[in-house]
Amino acid sequence: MNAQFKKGVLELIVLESVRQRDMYGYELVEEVSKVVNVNEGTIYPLLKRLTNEHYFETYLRESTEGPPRKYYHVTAAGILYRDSLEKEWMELSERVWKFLKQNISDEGS
Amino acid sequence: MGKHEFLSELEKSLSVLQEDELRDIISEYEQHIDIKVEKGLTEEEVIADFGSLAELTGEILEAYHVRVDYAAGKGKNKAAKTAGQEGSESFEKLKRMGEKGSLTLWSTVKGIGAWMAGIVRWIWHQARRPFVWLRSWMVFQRWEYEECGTEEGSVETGDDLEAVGTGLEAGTAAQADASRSRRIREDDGMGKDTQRRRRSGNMTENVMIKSCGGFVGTGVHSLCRGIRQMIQWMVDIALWGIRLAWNGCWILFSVFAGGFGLFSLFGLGLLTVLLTQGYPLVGVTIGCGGLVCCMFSAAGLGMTFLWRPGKSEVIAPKRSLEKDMGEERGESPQEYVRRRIHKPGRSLKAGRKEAFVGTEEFETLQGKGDGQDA
Repeated sequence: MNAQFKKGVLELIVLESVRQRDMYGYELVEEVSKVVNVNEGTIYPLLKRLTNEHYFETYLRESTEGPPRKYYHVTAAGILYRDSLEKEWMELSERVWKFLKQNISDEGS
Repeated sequence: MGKHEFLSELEKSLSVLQEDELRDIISEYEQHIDIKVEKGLTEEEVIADFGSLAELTGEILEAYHVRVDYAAGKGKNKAAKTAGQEGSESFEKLKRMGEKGSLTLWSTVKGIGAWMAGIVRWIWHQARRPFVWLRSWMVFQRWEYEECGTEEGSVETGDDLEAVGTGLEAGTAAQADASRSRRIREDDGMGKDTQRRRRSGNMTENVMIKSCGGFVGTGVHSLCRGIRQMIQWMVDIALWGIRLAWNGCWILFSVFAGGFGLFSLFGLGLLTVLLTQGYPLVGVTIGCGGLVCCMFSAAGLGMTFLWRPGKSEVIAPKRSLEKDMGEERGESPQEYVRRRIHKPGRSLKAGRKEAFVGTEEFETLQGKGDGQDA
């Protein structure tokens, strides 16, 4: 997949994943990787940026498999931001889809 | 590249970040590598999945809104530093902290010292006041003894200082006589004790009486005057406070009433507009008008209750020689000064003395003084 496409929707995917349930870094990377194939290293900076912008808040939880893990929880501001991103994405994809469909129908006729 | 090497490189390249942020991001990657290794991958494979270190650093720094080129330069510079340089920097840092700390400590100590010095100075000033007063009194007594001891029958009080001083300055016999005459004239009101002392012929006894009497008299007089002045001040202060409270209350009342009156006036205007538009608000409008009048009247009434200084509180101007002498001749003090006293190139004090010497009052007093001296 085009890296620019992925970069554009990565925030939305991360926000939606954390909105469903609180996750720690690696778990989130795994979740996002199911949707889009991204460089694993790029998720952490994104998480950090969303945390710095107060869309996420973090807390530590003990783990049976190792040291305590830092979980991410979406804030109210994060949910609003996620909704706005979703709206933008839907509009964009719809317009692009309409444009492509129209071109295809024009070519067919 | 192994895990430690990767983390070390990452740490160096992100050295522009704050220490806790750096620890946080490094621990995230460390945890990620550990989990992946537990799942069966090697460290090298996991690190390879992260991609280029430069790109990764760039993305992380972008998340912190830090310029990548600046951070790279900073990282390079930091990597180039030797352990010795770092040590010297730490030493400089510690030195700066020490200097700052000592400066702050010195400023604090200096401030406390200045404050304590101020207190000590104030205590010293207060403590030496009685001694200063005593010393000045003793100097005056000594001067009085030296000046009056040579003139039999002349007795001075504290108020004579100016007269004698001016007599000496003038340096003429007439002026000295004038001074003595003034002293004698003023002594007429000093009571029987003064008269008795004046009559005593023995100079030594006279001086002794003068010294003791002067000491006691001046001291008691000064004490009484001080107490009276203090009581006067206290009464003045109390009156001032009462007047302030009284006036403050009435001013507040007037301001409140005036403000409410203005508010009512606004309401009256509003009601008038509504009335002209046909609303049935005649009664309310009239009532509001009455309220406006009432409030402004109350404000004015409050201002009339203000306690202003009356005629009795106005300090009467001190009567002067010019005023007395001018009144006798039907002149204003200014005219008298212009005519008799003020001449170019001569001080007003000398002019006053010269003017006094030629008057009938001076002649009378001089005759009385000569008779007593004889």
